[in-house]
Parts: sequence; structure tokens; C-alpha cells
Amino acid sequence: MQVPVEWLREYVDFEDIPIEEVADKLTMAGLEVGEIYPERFGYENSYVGRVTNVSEHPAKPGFWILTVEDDTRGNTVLTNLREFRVGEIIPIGYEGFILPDGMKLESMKFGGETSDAKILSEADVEYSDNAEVILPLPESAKVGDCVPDAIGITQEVFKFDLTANRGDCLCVLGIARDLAAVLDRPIKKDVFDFELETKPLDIDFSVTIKAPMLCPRYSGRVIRNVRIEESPLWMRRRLVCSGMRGINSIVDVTNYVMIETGQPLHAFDLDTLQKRAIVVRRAIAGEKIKTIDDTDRLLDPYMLVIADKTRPVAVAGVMGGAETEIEGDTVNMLLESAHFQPRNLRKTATGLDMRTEASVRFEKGVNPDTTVKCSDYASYLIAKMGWGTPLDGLIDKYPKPVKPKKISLNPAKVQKFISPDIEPSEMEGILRRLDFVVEKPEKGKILKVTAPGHRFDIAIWEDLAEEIARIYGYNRVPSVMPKTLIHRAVMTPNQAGNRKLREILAGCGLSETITFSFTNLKELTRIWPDKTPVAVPILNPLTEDHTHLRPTLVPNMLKTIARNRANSPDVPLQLFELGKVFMDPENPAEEDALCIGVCGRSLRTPTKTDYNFQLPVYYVIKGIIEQFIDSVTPETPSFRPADNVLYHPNRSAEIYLGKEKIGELGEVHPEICANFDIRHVTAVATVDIAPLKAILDREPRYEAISRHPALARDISVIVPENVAARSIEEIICRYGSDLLERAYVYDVFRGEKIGEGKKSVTFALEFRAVDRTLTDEEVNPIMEKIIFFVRDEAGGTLRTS
Amino acid sequence: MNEELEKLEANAVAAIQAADSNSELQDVKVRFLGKKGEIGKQMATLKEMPHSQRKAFGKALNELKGRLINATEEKKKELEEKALKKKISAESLDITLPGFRFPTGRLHPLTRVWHEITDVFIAMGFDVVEGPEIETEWYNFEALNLHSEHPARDEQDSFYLGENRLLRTQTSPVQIRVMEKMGAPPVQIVAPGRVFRRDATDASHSPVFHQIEGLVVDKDITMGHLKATLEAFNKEIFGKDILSRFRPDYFPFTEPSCEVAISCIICGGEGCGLCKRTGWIEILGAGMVHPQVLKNAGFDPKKYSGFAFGIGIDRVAMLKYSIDDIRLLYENDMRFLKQF
Repeated sequence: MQVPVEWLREYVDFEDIPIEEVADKLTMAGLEVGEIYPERFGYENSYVGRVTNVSEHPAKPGFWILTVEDDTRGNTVLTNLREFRVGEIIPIGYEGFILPDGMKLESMKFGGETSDAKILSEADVEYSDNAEVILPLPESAKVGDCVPDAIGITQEVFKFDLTANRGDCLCVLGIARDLAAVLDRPIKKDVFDFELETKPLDIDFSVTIKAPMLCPRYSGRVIRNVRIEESPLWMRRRLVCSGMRGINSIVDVTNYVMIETGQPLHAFDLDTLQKRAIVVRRAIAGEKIKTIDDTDRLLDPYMLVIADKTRPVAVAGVMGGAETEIEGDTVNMLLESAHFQPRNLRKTATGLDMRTEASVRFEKGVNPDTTVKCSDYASYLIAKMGWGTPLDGLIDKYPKPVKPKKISLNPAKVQKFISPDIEPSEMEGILRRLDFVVEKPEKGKILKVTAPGHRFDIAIWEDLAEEIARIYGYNRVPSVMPKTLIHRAVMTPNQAGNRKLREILAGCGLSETITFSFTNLKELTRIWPDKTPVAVPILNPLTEDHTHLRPTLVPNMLKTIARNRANSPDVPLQLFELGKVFMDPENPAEEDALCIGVCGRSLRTPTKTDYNFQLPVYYVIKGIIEQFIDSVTPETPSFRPADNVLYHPNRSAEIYLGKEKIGELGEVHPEICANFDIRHVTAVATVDIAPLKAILDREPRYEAISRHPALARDISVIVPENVAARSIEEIICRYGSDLLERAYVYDVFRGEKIGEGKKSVTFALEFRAVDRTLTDEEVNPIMEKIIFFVRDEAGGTLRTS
Repeated sequence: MNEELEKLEANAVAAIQAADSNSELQDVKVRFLGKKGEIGKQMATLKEMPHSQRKAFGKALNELKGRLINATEEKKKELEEKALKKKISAESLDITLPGFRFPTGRLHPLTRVWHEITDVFIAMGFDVVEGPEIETEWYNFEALNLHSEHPARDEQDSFYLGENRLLRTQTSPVQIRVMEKMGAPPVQIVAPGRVFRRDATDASHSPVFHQIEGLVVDKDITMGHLKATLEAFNKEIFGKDILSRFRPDYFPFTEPSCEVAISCIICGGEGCGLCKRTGWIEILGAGMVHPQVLKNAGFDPKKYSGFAFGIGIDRVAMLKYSIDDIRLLYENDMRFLKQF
């Protein structure tokens, strides 16, 4: 909603207050002025110039070359509008002047001659669509004036960002009413104070409301001898400043009344209505209408239409039909002023994808009390401008007049709710300023308050409390901390767990990523080439990439890695995302998931030579997983070969904690990396965090540590390449007796001495007893047993140094 | 002391001095002080010595032994010091080369702010709860007074998943869920979470973003309580000199409703680009819980009142860290992430 300040001044005096302050006061009362702008905007590069030379175009017959000047500027203009005389005063726009389509004027060449300015037409300043008519200059225009200043369109406009409840403020009158209340000043003008002169009605027409729930009030008046012409500059100027455009006398007057009063109006050519009948009814299935924007619309039975005897002639409150539109030859016009039910109207406008100035107002509520007054006001203006003769015999169908609702207001409650400082008398004053009727009973303190017809949004005493508070000033309400009893504030275990896990993950050297919850089937097929992807579909996706809810975090992780590597090719990446994934399209469910991604040389060494071992990325991510799980639980995870085509078949594993599989990790299969445009070895892991969160809550329990020293041994076993170190470790542990405290891989060695296809795995073993220092005599037999079974069960040979 | 001993001492001292390593010194020590060393040999002569000489010679011999031990010890120390010096000088490094390390892990700025905000509210006695991202029309809209044709729905275009199911457009449905679950006041909760709106992405809009909802319901909760709580929050998050401004706004589920702004964190209220020269930055929406909403959740509005608020976590993060484009939060560029 935008309102020219000049128009507001017609209603309220505020010459003494700077307009920025006025805007601020309106904002602080809930009518946010988002912007104050001079309507000159875009028209700065213009001036009133004098023609100083005229010559015919040497190459293009019918064109003239003008030299136009003021005291400081001079331009060359090519024109074929007409022949100009030297000395004529004309409006000129030059380079940088913004045309209605948003383009800036530029120099152009035509027939070898350069033109660096243009004569401004009415269309150029959006007065009308007429690009052939030179913008008329008033007598007061002086050479050198900026054109908008010369024609008086430079003026401040308030651009409001209104809230959805204040439909009553979608008009000059509505803003003026609140402004008067805020400033505590009177409304100077009664817009409905006029004498409407009519001629007798001598034709029949009828109005029938068949859907009174959807159309509580409908009025029609006949206006004869309609004259369609251009409306005067002052009217068009106000329309332009209010964000509309001048079209013709009748359309402009209906728009003008709507902008001023908030009541949308519509004009029909009465003689095109079959039987000159208006029937307000629901559409019949299959009915169609061509609206005035020349579009055929298929109507649904829930929609309300204005029909004549046989067909719909308008989508009620949204847009009129093309066939009954007033034309230059219209004799009898029917002026519609009505009230429609907001909800159904909004549904209709949304359903037809037509949000019009009228529908926006009707869906937020239009005052049913003033339906006829506004119609009369438009008729009065039409008569006054000589655009038609209003006939009497207005039909006003209003079967069930809206009864104003009385609300009981206890000022003591408002004091308690808002502020004890607001006196009941001030409350009354504020409400009266806002046109509320306040009745004070003789006994008791409860006020009876009736809201004015334009305030649909007022229904309960709390609404009145807001009205009082917003005019009183929210910032004057004293701040008081609520009193509460001491209590323990907690997070849900789930949130506490997520938080702890995120901190642990960051502690493992992983940086957190946060991505959208969306994916698409193509993307899922890329990571699951072997199956038909299943995900929860979004019925109305915004883009092709975001058609489903993600069932896994992996694609987003790979995309994040790809994007980072593209932006910074050498950046080491160790990332995690902990976020929701969505399962089961039949019965959508959400759960937290964790994904870890690693790419690049994450271990930093002083020089590249120091990084002299080719560490497979698999071991990097495995180390991270081990460290992560170690931070969560003393239990050691185990790893078994994974069977998932996402991964490199020989460099991936399933993660087990006890007997429970809690995730997978591995280097991403090179083909899948390529699918995501990743050229470097990349590893990802997915971990179920629910079991980990459950463990997080467990309190650790101290186990006694021995005060006696450990006895260390090691053993090197030569085994075939495909024997997993873990399997040997298991044998060692199985036969190591209670005295074996720890056994771990110390080194893996390959070489000629060992033989092809074989490796030597060295384990470090630590023996210890709780109650004594161990001796070789105790440990030697255990070692012999271990060696025996390693040979026997793993097929290993002992390597002696 | 006889000449022989003097000669021996001179030889021994010379040998000690000449030793250039610990092992050489050890050899010298064995030669002179060992069991069969020079001193030992002299000791052996004692037995055959006349009684009158024996005492004096023995004394002199012992003193000599003591001096030689001291001299070896000193030499040993000297050699050790020298060796250490040599080792240290051989071990010089370019101390400016990078150290050996893993990357530092960092929490996402949204998570940092999420934690910081919830901590502020926990300190004020708010429980932290959560609600589902997949919601029903009832919780997301109807129970909050937003019927299907409510004009305020224009601002909350939603992603639908099926009959009656959608991605929540706000964290406000948690209000209803919490009240239903608790059954009776007092309620004092915040609920952080992810929300979704069918908005095209640009520098200030994202179809996915995060909010934290707050709700307090009890007997005699007033607008003054709302103001004091949110003023305290603003100071905790943005600094103790921050001012808060409350102005009327509209949400169907609160009455009265307000929009809360803070004094500009860049210019302090003078007016700058960030605050669009107004001196104020809009930060959150709040209001007194609408009685119908209390009723919808099974609370008697005649007995209880409450206030509610919704804070954009992304917006707070952007303001706190001077992030000028919301898309940065979801692109996860390492050059961005490593700044937090």
C-alpha cells in the first residue's frame, strides 16, 4: 500500500511535524512505513527545455532533428511526432531517465543521426498508456525545471508494509484514521459529505443474491450517458502516486474511490447483461468466463460469480468479464459496490491465481456499512466530472445486516495485562480516537465497547488491549521480570546428546556442515546405483533438485566435498553433518543421522617429505571413527567387510559395537566419486547415533588398576596377505590368559625376506597381574601357547629376528 | 710425598685432561684408579714398607686417589656438557615450518548460535524441548489461528508431503504440543529447530532456516514480563549496551503482538547501511498468547495468560558474525567454516 502524503493532508493536519517523524509514529503504532520516497524517483534526468533549432532528418523523411536547451544543458532529439517550432517549451528526458519498463534512456542512432534525449510522453511518466501524447506542461513550468517538479508529481509517498489484519488500512481514509488517532488530532474531512444528484430511473434491472453467506451485501446503481475519456491530471497523479495507472475516466474513478475508501467497485455495461439481471451465485461446474485481461478461466463450483440470467459476468470481487466490460459506446452503466466473504474470496483468487487490487482488499475485509456510501461517492464524482448521469433507484440487497459486536472491557484487566500505568480514562480516550464506541455503565467499571464497521479484526477484549497498547506505546510498558519458583531447567536427552556428540566430533578434528533437508531421485541413484531409491516426496517442490526429503546425508556430504575441492583444490576436508533424515514415504518419519566425510591430506606435516607414507584415506576415516567412539564409550568397536556399492569393495567396513552394527565407513567407490565430480580419494562414514546417545548417558565406573609393572613381549607372524590382523589379534587374546592385558598391532612389514603375497604382522603384548610382578617363568608358557595356536589357526609362521 | 707419586699424579692428570670422550676417560680411570691400576699397585707396596713410612705414604696415596677421582668427575662433567652442546647444535630446526597436526574441528556458526541462545534461556529457567519437522495442518496452522484462507498464510508458503502433512513453516506448533503434553501451567520452554518455507533462495531468503520458539504460560503473565525477558535476551546475545524496541505487529496466534528490534550493533543507533539508516534492526516477533491458542491446547484462558516469541537463529548468526548472505550458511565452504 502506498499513499501520497499530500492526500493524507486532506484528512489530517500535520504540517508542523517532519514527515520522518510522522512515519515513525505510524510505524510505532503498527502501520509500518517501510519507505518514504519522492515520486520523482527515476525521473531525475529530465528538464523543461526550449527548442532552439529544428531541421528535417536528411535521410528519414517525416523525422525532425531538434536542438533542445536550457541554461546549462543541450540535447539533440529525433522525433516524428510533429513539426516543432523554435521557441516551443517541451519536457525532455535524457540519458539515465527511467522508462516505465525499468530501462534507462540511452543515446541511439537513427539514419546516421544521433539522438541523446527524448520528448516525454504521458506514458513515459506513467500517466497513461499513451505514448503519442506529449506530457502537457502547466503554465507555471519554467525552462530548466526538473519535469516532475514542473508538473507537480514530486512529492513524498509513504510506502507501507502492512500486517495482514489491517485490511482497513488499504486506503487513504484508513491510514488517515489511524494517523489522526496517533497524533490525537481530528479528521478534517468527511469523504461522504456530498450531495448526489440523480435523474429518475426509467429502466428495469434486478439484483438477486443466491449465496448470501458469500455475498452479504450487493448494491447496483445505473449511470446513464457514460463518457469514456481521459481523467484529469490531478486524478491520474494521485493514482500514479498510489501505485496505480491512469486508464480511462470510469476505471480511474472506481480505482480512485477504492484507493481513498478501500471499497472496490466494478462497472458493467448494463445493456450487455441478459435481462439486465445481476445474479450473485456460485459457479456451476464447467462454467467458463473470459476476464477483462482476455484470459479464459474455468470456474469451480466453490467460486462465487456475478452472473446475468445465463452466464457469469464477473468473478465476484476478483475481476470482471470481458463481454460486459464498459466500452466507448456504453449507454447505461451498472456500478457495483458489494461485500464478499473474505475466506471464499481468497480461496477463489488463489485458485485462479489472480491477486488483484480488489481481491486483496476483499480477502482482508471491506466495511459492509459503507458499501452504498462508497457507490454514491463514485456516482457523485462521475456526475461532477461530467462522465455520466446517475439514476436513482439504487438496489441495495443486504438481507442480514452485520450487527456490531459489543465487547466487555475491564480496565483493571488491561492494567494487569499491559501496564498498571495506563489510566482507564486514557484507555477510553484511545478507543474513542480509533472510532470505537465506548459505553460507560453507571455502576461498575466494565466498559462496553463497540468496534467501528471497518475493524473486522476486533473480536475479544485482548484485541482492545492491543489497540490501547499500540496507541499508548509499547515502549512505555514497564519491563518486569516474571517471578518464578526455583526449578531445574533441562534440555531433552536427545538435544543434550546431539550437543555432546557435536562437540566430540569437532574435538575429533571434524568441521560441522549444515545442509538443506532436500534431495532428488537422480542424486540418490548416484549413491545407490544398485537399487530403486525410496524417499519422501514433496508434493509441491520449489526446484528440480529439491523434490524429496533426504533419506541419507551422504549426497549432501559429497556435494559439499566436491564444491570445496572445486573452490580450493588443496583444502584438506574433515567434515561431519548431524541432521535429520526422513524415512518411509508411506508414513513419513524423521530421525537424526550422522555422516562424516574426509578428503585430501588431512594430516599436516612440516614438509611433504615428512609425509612419506602413502596413508590410505580409509585409515584416516577409520582413525577418526575409532577416536570418536573412544570418546563416547570405553567399548572398542570392531570392523567387518562391508557390502555396499557406495564404497570401494576392498576399502570399506561395517562398524560394530558389541553385536550391534552401528554404521559403515569406507573410501567412496571411484565411479561414485566421479558421479559427484570428485577427483580425489574421498571417504565417508555413516553412524547410527541413537545407540551412541544412549551410551553417553552412562556414568563411567572405575576398574582397579594394578600397581605392578607390565611385562612386554612381542611376536611377529608371517601370514598370507588376505589374513586380517584382527583375526590374529583375536587368537592372541583368546589364548593370552587373564594375564594378557593388551595386544595390538605394532607393525606390518612386507618385503623379499617375507615372500610374495605375504606380510609380517608384529603385535605388542603386555602382561600384568593385579597382585604381583610377573616373571618370565610365568609368561613364557603363555607365549608358547599363543605361538602354537597362531601357527595352528591362522596358518602363520613365526618370524624370528 | 715421594717423587714417584708426584710423577704418577702428573701422568694421571695429563691423561685425564687429554681424554676427549667418555670412553677415553673411562680407560684413564681404569688405568689409574681401577683395581689393578697405578694407584692400586702403589697400595700393594704399602705392606712391604717400613712401619715408619707406611702411615705417611698411605695418607699421601689416599689423598692422591681422592684428587684423581675429583679430577675424573670434573672431566666427566665437562665432557658431558660438551657432548650435549654438540648434540643441541646439531639438532637445530627451522622453527617456522608447520607443525604436525590434524585439522581443527569447528562447530557450524548456526550450531554455535543455537547453543548460545539455548544457554541464555536455560540460565533463565527455560526447558529446552523439541518438535517434529513434519507437521500436520492442525499444529502448524489451525491450532495457531491460521485457518486455510487466512491472509497471513501468504508469508508462509509451505512444502506439502501429502494429505494434511507438511514441513513446518515455523517452530510455533511446538507451543501447542508442549501445552498438550504438560496439561497444566507453569510452562516455560524454548524449542529450537529447523523450519521450511517455499521461498526462492536469495541473499536474505532460504527455503530452510532455523528458529527458536519460546513460550511462558502461567497465572498473571503480562506484557511487561515479555518485554523484560526479551530485553535480557538481547543484552546477553548482543551486548549489555544494546537497547530493545517493541512495536506493534501481527501474528494470528498472539494478541497483542509485537516486533522486537535492537539498537543497531554497527552504528549504535546513529543510522548506517545495516539498519537502513533507522538505527534499529528487527530481530524477533513476539506477543501475548492468543486466548484461542490457549484454548486449542486445553488451557483455560480465563485463568492463565502467557507470552510467546520466535527468534530466527540464522538471523542472529548473520548479525553477530556480520554475514551478509544467508546462502553462505548452507554452502559450507571451508574458507567460511574455519572462521568460527
